[in-house]
This record gives sequence, C-alpha cells and structure tokens, in this order.
Amino acid sequence: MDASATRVALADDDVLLREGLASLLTSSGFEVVGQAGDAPGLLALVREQKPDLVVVDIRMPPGHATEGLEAARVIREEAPGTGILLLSAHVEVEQAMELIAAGQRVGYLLKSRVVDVGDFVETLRRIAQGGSVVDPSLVQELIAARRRDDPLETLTEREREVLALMAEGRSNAGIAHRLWITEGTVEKHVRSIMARMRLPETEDDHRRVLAVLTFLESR
Amino acid sequence: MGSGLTQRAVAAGIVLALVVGATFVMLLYSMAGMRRSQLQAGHSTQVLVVANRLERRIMDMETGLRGYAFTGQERFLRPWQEAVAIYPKETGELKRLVADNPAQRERVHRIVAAGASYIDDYTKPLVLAARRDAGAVTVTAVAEGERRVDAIRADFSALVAAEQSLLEAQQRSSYEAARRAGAVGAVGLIASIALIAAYTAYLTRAVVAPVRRVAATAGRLAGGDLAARVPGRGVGEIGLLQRSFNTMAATLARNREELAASRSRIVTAADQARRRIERDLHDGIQQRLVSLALEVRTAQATLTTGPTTGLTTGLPDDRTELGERLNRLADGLGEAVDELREISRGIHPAVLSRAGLGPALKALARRSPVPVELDLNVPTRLPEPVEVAAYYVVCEALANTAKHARATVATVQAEARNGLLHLEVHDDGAGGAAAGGGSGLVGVTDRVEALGGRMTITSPPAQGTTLIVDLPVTGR
Repeated sequence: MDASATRVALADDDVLLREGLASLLTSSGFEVVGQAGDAPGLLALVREQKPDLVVVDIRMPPGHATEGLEAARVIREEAPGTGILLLSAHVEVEQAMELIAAGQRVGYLLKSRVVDVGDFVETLRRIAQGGSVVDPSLVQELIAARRRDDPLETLTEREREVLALMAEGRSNAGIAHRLWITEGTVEKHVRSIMARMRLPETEDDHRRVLAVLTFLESR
Repeated sequence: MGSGLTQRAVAAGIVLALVVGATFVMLLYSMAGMRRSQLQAGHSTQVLVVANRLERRIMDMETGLRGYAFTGQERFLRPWQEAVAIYPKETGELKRLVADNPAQRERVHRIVAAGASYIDDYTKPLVLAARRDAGAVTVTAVAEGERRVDAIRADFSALVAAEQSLLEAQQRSSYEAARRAGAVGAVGLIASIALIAAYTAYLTRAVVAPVRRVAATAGRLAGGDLAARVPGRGVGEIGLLQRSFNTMAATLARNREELAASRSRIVTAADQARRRIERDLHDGIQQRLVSLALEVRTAQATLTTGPTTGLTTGLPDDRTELGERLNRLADGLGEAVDELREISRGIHPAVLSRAGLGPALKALARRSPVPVELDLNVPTRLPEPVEVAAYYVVCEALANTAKHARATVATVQAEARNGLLHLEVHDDGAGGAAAGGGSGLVGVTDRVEALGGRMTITSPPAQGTTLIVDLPVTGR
C-alpha cells in the first residue's frame, strides 16, 4: 500500500453504497474524511474538511437530476485544486464534455465501475495526481459512431486503440503499460495520429483529452 | 320545421292544373259560342232563302194573273194555280223558321195574312169573273192587284232587312267569340309556361342547388376536412338534410378530437410510466446491485488481506476458492448492472428528459449502424410530448433504415420554426417502405397524430426513403 493518505469525501444518497465505497477506499489506503447524502451536505463537507478528492453521484435528492454536476461546478470554483470524480448511472457525452471543459483533475465514470476495485482505485489515484478520466464505454460510443468519410478509417487498429486510451485520459506511460508496448512506440503513434487528425500536439494530458473528445464528438 | 317540400310541390301542381283547366274551360266556352253563332247564321240564311222563294212566287202569280186577264189564255194561270196549291205549305215553313223571333214572326204573320187575303179576296174572284166574261177585268182591278203585291213586297223587304241585320250581328258575335278564344288560349299558354318556369326555378333554388352543395361538402368531409359545413338554411326536407349533415360533421369532428385527446393521454401515460420505470431501475435496482457488488468486494478484501481477527478456521485452499467465488459473484453483479443500463436506455432515454432533443438525437446518431448526418436547428427545449415523439420518430426511422434500406448514409434534419417542429429523415437506400405492415412506424404514426401532427413517407423503389413529420409545438 502506498502511504499516500489521499483524503476523500463521498456523496451519494444511498447509504449502503456509500458505506461500501468508504470501507473499500479505506482498505485501499485512502482516508475517507466524510460522507454526504445530498449536494448541500457535500458542499458543507468540502468547505470544512478540504479533501483532496470528492466522489460524487450525479443524481441526488431532492430533484434526482444533475445535482452532483452542479455541486462539482461549485467545488471547482471554491476549491479549484480538489479532484472530482462524477459517478453516473449512464454516460452522457454532453455531461462529460462539460465536466472535462471545466478543468483538469476530473473524472466521469459509470457508477458500476466501482465494482472493479483495482481499476477504480487506480482511477482515483490518476485524478489525485492531476489527470482526467473518461469512462471507456463513453469513448467506445464516440469511436464506434459511424460517419461518412470517417477520418478514423485511415487509422490502423492499434492507432485506434491508442486514440481511445488518449480519450480515456491515459498518459503515454499509461497507454504503454496497457498495450504492452514501449513508451517510445506510443509517442510515435500519438504524433502520427495527431498529425493525421489535425489535432494540436500538447504535453498536457488534460488538454489532450479535451481535444480528442471534441474531435471525436464533432467529426 | 317549415312547410314540407311535398306540400309545396302539391300546391304548385294544383295551381298549374287550375290555370290550365280554366284556360280549357274558357276555350270550350268560346268554341260553343262560335258554334251557336254559326248555327244561327245558317238559320237566317234559310229564312232569307224561303222568304225570297215565297216573294218570287207571289210576283209570278201576279204576273200570270195579269197575262190571263189581258189574254184569257189558261196557260197564264198555271203559276197562280201552283202558288195557290203550295202557298199554305211554304208559308208554314216560313212561320216555323221565324217561330223563335217575335218581331220576325209578326212580320211573317202580316205577309202571310196579306198573301192569303190577296189570293182569296182578290185573285179568286178575279179569275171567276174573267172566266165568266173575258172583258170584265178592269184596269182598276189590275191596278188593285199591283198595289196589294207591292204592299206585300214592302213587307218582304222589311223582313229580309231585319233578317240580314240579324245575320250580321251573329257574324260579329261569332268573330268576337273567336277572337276571345284566341286571347284566352294565348294568355293561358303564357301563364302555364311562366308558372312552369317559376316552379322549375324554385325547385332548382330550393332543392337542386342545396343538394349539390351538400354533395360537395360531403366530398370535402370524405377528403378529411372535418370542419366542412353546409352554408345556409334550406326549406323543409332540404333544411332537415342540411342540419342533419352539419350535425353529423360536427359529431365526426368531435369524435376525432376526442380520439386524438384519448390517444394523447394514452401515449403520455405510457411515456410517464416508462420514465418512472427507468428511474426506478437506475435509482433502485441498479443502485442496490452496485451496493451488493461492493459488499461482495469488501468481503473478498477481508478474506484476502489475512487474519486480522484471528481467523483460524478453514484452510488457505478454501479461502482462495471462496475468494474466487466472491470475485465471480461481484463480476456477475457488474454485468447485471451493465445489462440493466442497456435495458433502461431502451425503456426511456434519460438524456432526452435531461438535455433535450439535440443531445438525444446525437446519441441516436452515434449508435446508428448506418452513418448519420445531423442538421439540427432546435435552439430551445420543446414540450416533453413533442420531444419524445420526435425522438421516437427518428429512432424508428433510423432503425428501419438500418434493417431494410441497405443505405450508405442517412440524414436527419430537425428544425423548430413557426410553432412547428419539422423533422426529415432521409436515406439513400432501396426505398419501397410503407408506414403499414410490420414497421415500427405504425406506433410512431399514433404518436404523431395524437399530437395533431402530420407524417408523410415517400419511398419510391431504388430512390431512398424520406420521412417527413411536422409536429405542432404550441397548443398542447
């Protein structure tokens, strides 16, 4: 276990789920500083405890609409350094784009991802370290969308995999680790993809996510 | 209800019959008058002929007598003898002829009396005397005869003149009667024609024209224009027909409105139910499954992190196997959650209620197996039933395109303008699609019509399919 006592706040209206998540995070080396059942509770908690990271359900009382997203916007304004992971029962491209556009250190995941504990903990670490995370199923939906004269048709299978991982918010090192190839090879792929898709090259992972998502959504 | 058309038709028929009948009666009357005048004229002519013959016989008798008086020859007596023999018969005939006219009868009486006196008191003594003595006939006696005959002839002249003036009067009256008959006939004919023309015009105005209007309106009604009504208020049965027709049209229109309202209620209720089910799936079952999976993970973690509370029972092998089973259980729960998410997306697209038509159509386009080009111009949120209907229209159209059209591209156009949401879904596929049959477009038609919208499909073979839907945005 890393000794990174990342301080986490949880917000979800389902107590059982909240408790389960808390115990899971605690046993994975996080420090859960508090839990909230709705958006106002979460905001109070964040102001009091100043956590490194908040994990927030989008749908919460009273309206069961996008209260989590609203709360995330407020936290972003009041404490820009706080990492935010939004959990949603289903993925929506518009919500993800809105969140990613708000700045780095954010993540947008299907709620069911928490069941894959290893991946979930890794995701939290990436956010805590300043990365941005987008749910793979949402990226898959964007990449699978058929277009006439699709620029993606010109990419190889491997290049498409690299592009998808970029969109999910992986760093070059992360991509290399995932695909079992060297980081140098990943860099080569990335440069080729960015050039052919006419995307600006950037060292900033977060900006890269935003650019790739925008491209995929609007191609 | 006013007086019926039947009564009016019967009344018109009676008036016509009266006019024609009166004309005929007057014509017959005039003809009878003419006939009477002609009969009387013939009678007068007969009177004149008989009177003339009688006068001539008296003149012949006088001439013969005079010859006998001067010559004494018996042959000159023959006219006198004939006249004496036939005189009663001929005067009888004349008397009979003028029996019905008192003035003429008077004249004839005088003539007959004078004639008889002439024959008996003058001629017979004269003939006797002459036979006895041929020279006994004096000039005076002859002159006496001439005077008597002249007097009789004067009476004849009066008789003839009177009869002639009678004849003229009869001819005048006959002519008058003929003229009157002609005039009556002409007037009757003109009146009949005018009456028939007026009645025909009335029938056209009161029956034919309104019936034609009702027929035209029925045509419009059959064509779907349920606002069509018959103008004006007709007479009798025609008025009844028009009112019944308008009532029928109003009932049809009301029924259609009620049907649309009921369809709308059914669709709305179904949509609300789907939304509720989708929420329950997301906020209830899905949430619970995730919590359960988390608990399994926690249990799994406790098992593998070791004996923190002095776990002594069981062997390491058992613990590994149990951990493996817990792992599979958690994975299975995760898959169940994924399946549940797919199902709930099919029940109701959450993005539609949250973000509106644009994002929902984009999501549809992304998931379509046929490439979709979107042209969206819907800047604001629309009433929920309109958004839902539009979503399902595009959803079904794209599903049909993917299933049947063998198309390379589909375009989806959505534009909100002038209180209408205009949708167009076009593909470049095989065409030949129809709203009927097994296509999901039937359900979509119900939705569109429930909102008072219109849907048209043009799908000529080998020229692709175009679906156009217009939904009113305001109103409901």
